[in-house]
Amino acid sequence: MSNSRRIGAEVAIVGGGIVGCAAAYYLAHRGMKVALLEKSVIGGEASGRNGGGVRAQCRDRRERLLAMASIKVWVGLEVELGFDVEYLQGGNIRMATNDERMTTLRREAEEEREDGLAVEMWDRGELRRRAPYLGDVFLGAKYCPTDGTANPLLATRAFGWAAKRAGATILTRTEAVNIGVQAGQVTSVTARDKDGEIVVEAPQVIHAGGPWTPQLSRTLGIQVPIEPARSVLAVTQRMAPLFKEFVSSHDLAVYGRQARQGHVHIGGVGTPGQTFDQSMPAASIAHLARGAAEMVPALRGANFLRTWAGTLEMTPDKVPIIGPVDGIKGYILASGFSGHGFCLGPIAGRLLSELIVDGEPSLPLHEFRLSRFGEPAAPAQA
Amino acid sequence: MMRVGTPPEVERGQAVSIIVDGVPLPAYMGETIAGALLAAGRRAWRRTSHGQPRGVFCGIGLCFDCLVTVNGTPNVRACLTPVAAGMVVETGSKP
Amino acid sequence: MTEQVEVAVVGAGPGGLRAALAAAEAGAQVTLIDSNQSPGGQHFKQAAAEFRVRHPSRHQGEGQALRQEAMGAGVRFLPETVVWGAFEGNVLALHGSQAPAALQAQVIILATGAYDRPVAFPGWTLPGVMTAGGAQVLLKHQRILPGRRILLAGTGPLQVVLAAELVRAGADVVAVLEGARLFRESAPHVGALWGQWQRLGEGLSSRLTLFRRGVPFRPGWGIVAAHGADQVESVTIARLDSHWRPIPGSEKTLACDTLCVGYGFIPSSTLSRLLGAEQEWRPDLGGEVPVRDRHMQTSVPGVYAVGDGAGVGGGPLAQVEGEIAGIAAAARTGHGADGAEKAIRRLDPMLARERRFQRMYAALFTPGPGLYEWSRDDTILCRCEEVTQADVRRAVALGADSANEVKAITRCAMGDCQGRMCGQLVAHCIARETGRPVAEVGLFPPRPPIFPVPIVALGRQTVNGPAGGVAELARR
Repeated sequence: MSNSRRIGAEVAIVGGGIVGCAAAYYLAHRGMKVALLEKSVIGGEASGRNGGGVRAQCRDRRERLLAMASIKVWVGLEVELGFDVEYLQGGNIRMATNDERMTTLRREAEEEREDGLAVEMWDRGELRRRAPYLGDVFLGAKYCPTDGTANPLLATRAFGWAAKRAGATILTRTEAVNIGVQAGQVTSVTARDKDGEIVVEAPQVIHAGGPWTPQLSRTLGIQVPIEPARSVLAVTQRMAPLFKEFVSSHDLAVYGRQARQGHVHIGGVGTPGQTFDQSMPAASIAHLARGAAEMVPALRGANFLRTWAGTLEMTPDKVPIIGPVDGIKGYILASGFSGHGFCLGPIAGRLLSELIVDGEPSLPLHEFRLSRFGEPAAPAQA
Repeated sequence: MMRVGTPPEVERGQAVSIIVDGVPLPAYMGETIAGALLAAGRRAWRRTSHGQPRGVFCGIGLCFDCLVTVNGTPNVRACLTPVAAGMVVETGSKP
Repeated sequence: MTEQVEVAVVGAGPGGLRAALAAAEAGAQVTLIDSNQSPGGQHFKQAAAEFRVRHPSRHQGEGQALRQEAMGAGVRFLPETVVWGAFEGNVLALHGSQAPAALQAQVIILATGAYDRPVAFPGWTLPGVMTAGGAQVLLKHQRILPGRRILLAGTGPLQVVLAAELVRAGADVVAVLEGARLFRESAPHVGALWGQWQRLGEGLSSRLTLFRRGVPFRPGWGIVAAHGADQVESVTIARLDSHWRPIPGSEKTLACDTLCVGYGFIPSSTLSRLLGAEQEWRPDLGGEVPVRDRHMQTSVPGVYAVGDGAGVGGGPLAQVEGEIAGIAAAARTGHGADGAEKAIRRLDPMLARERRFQRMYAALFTPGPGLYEWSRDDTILCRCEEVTQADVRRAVALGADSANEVKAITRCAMGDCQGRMCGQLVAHCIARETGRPVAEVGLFPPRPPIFPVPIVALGRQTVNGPAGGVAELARR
């Protein structure tokens, strides 16, 4: 294509989800020249299509510290970004329908307390007392008061707008198609938009491409073990205030929250694997309806108003891949958040900025490296 | 009032009474809740979350402006729902 | 439970009834679905079943006859049934007390009709402002007047007919405002009226009624604003230029308690979009409509679309299109395939006549671009979520470039009407702000359920659900 434009930047970011936008914001805020490339629109995929949960409880131990740190960021986000992202620290309840689940939750609670996360175990009586809106099916629950919710449609976009104000270049409807490497060092990202080709020349690339990451990383000869999966959501008509907690049950494979305007969002915990298909199967709508009615019986009198699906990015251990990749200088992965990216996005963005600006993040990231999967990165194609 | 036509030209359904916000309102079988409210001269019966008055707009069940609570069920479209004797209708603002 | 049927017809207005009848007469097994209690749609709207009306209108009589014919031909009717979704394999998801949870049809005929185009002007959310269609249904179905002093504003002959009906029913009609400037624009189209005797008769008798009662008919006039505290008390009107923009200095204020607004119709094309049928932007046909072949088949094999829902054209055109689709649908399911092409060709002259009328109607009565500039910054565009024009403009300034993006930022179209009211208003606003054509901006993508459906019903149909169980929802 004859129409090739060139942009120079200190950091190129691939992916306009919450991780990429937060990284762009923190980097630009610290004076770095940033260019972000997004194939469609800011926050248009999983970052804007999730349940809006922001929780530290019920996490893999590696992820827990990140989540706790991220929540500290979330608490101040409205002030920091100058935009109300509807963050509410309303607590998180993870329910159990059987003794086995209760035992797991109890064990998890001990570990969480060791790590400094305050959680409470509720038996049936306590659950009835504290969350009378929940169904009889639950034997008990684990509760974390510092967890909360936010509006997924607004949070990622707010990061994007703030990044732009801080001086970042945000290119939407611009799809990265190749990452250029010379002598083991990243040099550029090539992308396409409706007018042709754009080359961002940058010595550092943050790859936050979500489920589309493996495709582009393959241009570097790197296999990233991320698979797409469908998440499903439904929302009711506006209802009187019913609950402020984010509630979920793995036994029913369903979760829910009530948004500020009164609509109750219901999501599917489990997802069918290996698909980029974002159509909403009838069976999934039915599943969400049944789960909603069982979890929060007051919803039996409500209507579903709308449903939608999104594409999650699952790693084998359901823990994200964050950090530099051996063998390719300047290439930093930040993908595979496995459904946890909305909560972790703000801290991931901040740590990535520290990694690049300070050379060392304020929280260790080595446990999140790609190399944990034991696949050494192949040398880059020149 | 605003009902049109008298017997033998127009014979309405059986005369009934519905309870709107605790007050009996005359209606005829075959009329909708919205019809009965309009015939009684009531134009606005819902307040939006911003406090604005609303009544019937599209009249064919598409705009959801005329919502009322009927026998405890919220979000019922007054323009589509036929009256029935003793039906309890609550108007007023939505949550 | 998912039921297998040969032909499913969605919508029992003139197009759907005629399609069902034609398919049934050819020998197909037909299920006709409608959200109302009885067939007829808005066009053939009958008086309530509990009423006895001595002199039903011509349309009501015609509707009765067609409905009896269709039922007599063995069409099975599912009343009060909402089609809330469409899924792969021509599966329609239903909600209704007498309906199965889903139908899998060999052929689907969509005859979903159209609804009054919402127009945003200051005061349009005040009680007392209602659509012309809404006023007509009240009068036809329940014999109730929407108000006492009524101003009609809109375009096209239907509002003249409505005005005459309102006058005959005893209302004080303040004036009828026609947006188009008819005398300058109608001359080239006179020929298309040939053969439209019923329409001409109805139009003339309506005009005569208005003339006799001294009701002013004002071509080239439109609305500036409706005023009132808790309901309409007066309306400011103005002369329009050829683009339908109010001419400053020409304003007048009329006292009234009701404003009926009828600026044409928007096709209900949600289902065809949900089924994946290719759409095109046709302002002359009311907005976004499915692309069709000469048998009324959309780009999705086995999915047909007829009548106003596939492009506004009125009841008679809907009937011709319905008959063609009905014959084609039956042939597709193995009934009467031999004579089908001949039977369809026999309808060519009627189709041509109605299409001529449709073109004339579109040329005269398609609103000018100024119609979408009647809103001000503080005017609500999305009635459900109370999103103003300023909110939409702010979202565009932040970078939103599509209806869906503006929705994400402002909540417009996230309310109960699911974007039916604000869809075109928001699209036009974005187009204006970004300098792009409306077709490029696009409408809100439809998402099931396309009407609010009780969770209990959605959950119940899960048991035998339309697309199998929930095994695919593997637990993490």
